[in-house]
Amino acid sequence: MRVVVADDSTLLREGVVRLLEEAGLEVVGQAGDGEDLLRKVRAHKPDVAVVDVRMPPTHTDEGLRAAREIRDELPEVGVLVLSQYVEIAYARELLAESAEGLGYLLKDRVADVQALADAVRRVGEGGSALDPEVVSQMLGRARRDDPLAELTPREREVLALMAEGRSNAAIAEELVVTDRAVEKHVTGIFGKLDLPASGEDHRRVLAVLRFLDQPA
Amino acid sequence: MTSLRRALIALAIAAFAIGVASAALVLTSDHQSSRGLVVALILLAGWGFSGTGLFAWYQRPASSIGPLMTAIGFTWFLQGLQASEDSVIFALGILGSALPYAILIQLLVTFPTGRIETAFQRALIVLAYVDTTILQLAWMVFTDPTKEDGCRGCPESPILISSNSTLSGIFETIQVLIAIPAVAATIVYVFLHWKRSDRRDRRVLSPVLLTGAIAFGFLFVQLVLDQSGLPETAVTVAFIAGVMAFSGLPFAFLVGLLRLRIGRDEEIRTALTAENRQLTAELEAKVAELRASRTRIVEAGYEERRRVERDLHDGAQQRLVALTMSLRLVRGKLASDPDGAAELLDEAMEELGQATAELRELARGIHPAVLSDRGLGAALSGLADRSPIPVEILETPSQRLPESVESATYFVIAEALTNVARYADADAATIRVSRVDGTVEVEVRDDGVGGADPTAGTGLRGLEDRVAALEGRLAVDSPRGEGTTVLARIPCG
Repeated sequence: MRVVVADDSTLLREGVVRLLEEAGLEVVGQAGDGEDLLRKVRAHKPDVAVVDVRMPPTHTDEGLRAAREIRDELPEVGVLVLSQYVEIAYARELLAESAEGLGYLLKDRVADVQALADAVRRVGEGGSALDPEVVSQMLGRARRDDPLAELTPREREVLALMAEGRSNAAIAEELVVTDRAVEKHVTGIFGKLDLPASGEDHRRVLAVLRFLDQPA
Repeated sequence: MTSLRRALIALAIAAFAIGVASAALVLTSDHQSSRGLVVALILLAGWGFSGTGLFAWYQRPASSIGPLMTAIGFTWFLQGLQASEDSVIFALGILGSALPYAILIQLLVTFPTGRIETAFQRALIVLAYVDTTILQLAWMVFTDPTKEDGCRGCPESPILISSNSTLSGIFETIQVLIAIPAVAATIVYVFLHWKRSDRRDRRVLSPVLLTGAIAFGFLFVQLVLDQSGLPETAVTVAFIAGVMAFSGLPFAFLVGLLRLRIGRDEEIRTALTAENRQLTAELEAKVAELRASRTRIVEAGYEERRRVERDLHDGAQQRLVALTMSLRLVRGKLASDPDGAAELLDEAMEELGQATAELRELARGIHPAVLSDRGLGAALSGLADRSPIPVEILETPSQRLPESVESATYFVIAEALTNVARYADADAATIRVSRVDGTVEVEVRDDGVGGADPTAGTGLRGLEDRVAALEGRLAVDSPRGEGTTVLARIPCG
């Protein structure tokens, strides 16, 4: 899988590149700002662009803007946005149209090589990767009439992993249960929350997030 | 020309004419003794009072002092009618001869305001009028002027019922017995009034008091002498002296009134000075408040730095030091105990994760990046999402606000929500940020226990300063048991 990495901090960029290469991914280009990133992505047409939110010249949301441009121009290129902060507002913006081939992770996650590589792969394959922090913020949001109250603790765990973009198999592995058990939980959740049952992982993510993000 | 002025000029002409007529009457009289002296006295006091009275009337139309003085002048001329050979005119002259004294008493006890304010004033004035009108009339109906001393050749009185010397004597005595204490009371009253007054009021009262006291003193002496049966000459001398002083009175009133005007100028000056002083005091208070809030802002800045330093020192820095040690241990164990080394590395990773999480929160507390990147709406929904109680955002401005206003708004809401979570025991809270006519209104409302004291904690105080620095105002409404509303109004272009 071919990857372009964009981050203005050389130290971090090199680190990410090394981690991804060790995980067996091919880094075909590196960029230090938004413009540079767009050039490299257009040139290399990678499977995934790993993008830092803050980059020169404004050091505000260069990465996000570049990410949107890439998704408009080259929808087949997956985008994994890395951010120093987790803001639901950013997640909403990125997920506005589709969760397909999109990831939004806290920068800290680069420390977990396996998780980072998994996320890149998922995004590269057209799936989604949403940071557990975003998901837990959405899940943990105080609501007046909390529809999540009906869920069992196990169903909550499954819901969180689902929202992150994990497949049933991945969830089963994470929770150390059978695929069959996960399927049962998922059906239960969709039923209790009155969500449209959906097979594809990224659609599932979008459905879950749309639900979680409704105003209380 | 105003109608008042026209009327006053007409009155002045009338006063002049009446004076001349009165003088002519006296000078052509058969029965009037000492004509020259009488004419001089009548004209001096009559014109004196009416002239100064009309002037005072013109100067201060709202005051009754001018009209009262004018009335004294006009009634004074009535004395001249006594010189008439016509019985009716003569009787009118007798009837009105004491009236000016009653008016003078009213003038003296109400000077300089002209207002009757106390029951004592009213009683004294009523008594004076009764004495000089009703009792005078009563005396007249029993007194035959032709039989009186010093009125030889006087005409018959047309209102004489029966010449009864006993009744005449009784009424005269009653009149005098009322007049003596009334005059004395007036003198004492004016003196007490003068004594109670401050320096400025005394300047107004002094000339009147002095002249009035002299006039009434002579009147008093005359009244007493009259009763004591002393020779006529002494009485006449007292009368003439009294009338002389009496004639000086209008000028004394005028001096008093003029001084009052000067006093009023001074009053205005004093009022202006007082207002100036108050403005200065307000300004000084504002400067002091500004200085205090500036100090607090600076101190808050230092306090903030100390907090950041403490958080860094206690958090990330400690963790990094621990991490260094862990890594050193790992290095030592790598060869001898690979499993132990791996375990230590896991711990180190955990530590690192904590350190980065803490740094992230710290950075957000200093300034939330999403606020500058995406504005209030996004930043506030983040705040609402992280709040442990349900927060509903009712309204946010559709356009971006100036950075300083946006930041103050954000921190007001963040602090308010922190307080709601900590103290309010609320079920829910709402946020509303609206822009109305160049002012941003920020409102955080909860349904908790209320009773918040904005002067207690430093949090709200800090917010107040932050808002005040932008010329805004922060209000906390927190009735016990009815929730709390924090309302900030910040001007923005």
